[in-house]
Amino acid sequence: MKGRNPRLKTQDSRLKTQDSRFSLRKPSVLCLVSCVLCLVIIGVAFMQGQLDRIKPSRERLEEKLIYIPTGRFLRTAALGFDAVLADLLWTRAVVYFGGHFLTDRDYRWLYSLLDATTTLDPKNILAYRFGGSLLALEENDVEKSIAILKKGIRNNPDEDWRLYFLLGFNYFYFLEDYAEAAEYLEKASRMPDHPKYLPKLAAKMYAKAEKIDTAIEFLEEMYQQHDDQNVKAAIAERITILVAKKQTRSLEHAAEKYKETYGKYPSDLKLLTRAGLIKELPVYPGGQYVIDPDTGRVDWVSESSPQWP
Amino acid sequence: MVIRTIAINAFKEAIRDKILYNLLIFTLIVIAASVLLGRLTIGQDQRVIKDVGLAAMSLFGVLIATFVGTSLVHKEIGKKTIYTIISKPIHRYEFILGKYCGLLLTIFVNLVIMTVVLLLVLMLHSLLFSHQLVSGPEPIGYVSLLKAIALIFLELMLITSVAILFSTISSGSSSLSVFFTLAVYVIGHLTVDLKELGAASKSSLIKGLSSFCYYILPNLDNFNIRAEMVRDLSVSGRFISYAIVYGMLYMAAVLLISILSMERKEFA
Repeated sequence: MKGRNPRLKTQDSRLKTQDSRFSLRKPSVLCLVSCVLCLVIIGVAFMQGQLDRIKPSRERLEEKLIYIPTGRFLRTAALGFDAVLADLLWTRAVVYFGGHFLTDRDYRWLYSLLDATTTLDPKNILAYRFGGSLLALEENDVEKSIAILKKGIRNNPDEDWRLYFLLGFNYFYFLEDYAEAAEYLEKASRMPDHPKYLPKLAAKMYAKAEKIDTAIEFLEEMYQQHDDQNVKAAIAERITILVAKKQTRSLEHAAEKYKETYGKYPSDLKLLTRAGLIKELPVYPGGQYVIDPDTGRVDWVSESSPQWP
Repeated sequence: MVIRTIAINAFKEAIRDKILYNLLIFTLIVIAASVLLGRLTIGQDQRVIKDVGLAAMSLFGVLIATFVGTSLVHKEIGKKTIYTIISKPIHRYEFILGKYCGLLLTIFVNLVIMTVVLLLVLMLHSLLFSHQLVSGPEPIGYVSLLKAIALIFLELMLITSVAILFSTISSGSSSLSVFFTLAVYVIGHLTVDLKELGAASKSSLIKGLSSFCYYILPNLDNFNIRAEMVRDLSVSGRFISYAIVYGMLYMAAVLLISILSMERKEFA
């Protein structure tokens, strides 16, 4: 090595110093870099959390802009992945409903989501049932509810009696078209696995029986049909309202009788029990019934309402 | 210094590979959108041109980042030029960072030219067709447009780092790295669904797993403010700055892993 070129020597030493200064192969450096990496990854997760916190305002924006192409277009665009896309949209619809049910109850995109879902996957019976129940009960859009149910029946005429059942309910409760309702209920009762009382319900339709009682029966059946807790809660709320309506009617009826005897409406509903006109005061969940002593009108107020006594 | 030299070399290499030809296609798409689509949508011509232009920018950028990013390291190994580089007093992290910066420069130049083309088409369109509108010409909204493009660049920076990572991990085949990078891009736009899916599940295991994946996988939706910007809706400055910090941190993590992986590689 004695006669070695001095230039090579300096290059050699430069290499050495560079290596000794910083080398990722050194355990200490490697350890340090790994620690930094861990910190950075934690930082990433933290930032995502921060972004999510300020996101709500953004999500609302997105929903305003949301544009769901028609199912037919999506089917072409899905390039054979129709089923996966349908599943994705279906999940979105369920989450969309759940999110809005717990907040603002604005479901303006539910129909588009379900329509696209069922065009991509016409056999998704649950999606028709979901839309059939909720579009009418929650979104108050009977037309769209009927449209999605009829689409379901068109695509699956012999699959599920519940589609006919829900259609019957819409005609009976919202459109008050008893003949049409009876026809659909009859069709439902000719399908396999239908519940035993269905023919009876159809007969009630023909007889134009008391609307509230029948509606409660319908809704109780609907309640049994769903597994989703949010859907169940929405239907249960509807049942509570109908039961309350029914009870206000019978209370008003008793108040009329009270007036016939005492010449005026009772100032308090408790007077009706004391007069022996009703056995006991019905309970309204989370509130109570009150009477207007001037008009005899009975109403229900919840605890959160300003009219709560 | 070394990083700069490698970066400039990588940039020149990309240009020599005729990467900028994509600009031609981009220009054609934007002009076609302005002439054809714009006419079909009454009064929303500018919006359509912006939508199509920004989408094309993002798409071409992702394709360049993926294909060039994965080939930059592979090529050196394939052509055996990597030996002449690593035998020099160059650290491997310098090599990786140099390649990364070179590719970013390519993408940046590409985006700048695309932006100029888009703005030119918008201005020309508004000059030629605005007299047909009752409401007069729509304002172009330069600031919003630039904000959206800046976040597109950030997204591309992230995808580029992912491409480099996969090219250092899978030294065998470049197509595998392309596949992985594109997969990360797709997953990056689906992480929100992943989280929602987990939230809807009753099993706490799935819930935990999905939220873990949500925080670890890149969420590319953070960089997508195109729809809001085109429609002149406000996105808070805080959101944009958080998204920038998020992108930078994510990029740093991916590059660190790439460097570690490169460092462990044996070139024999």
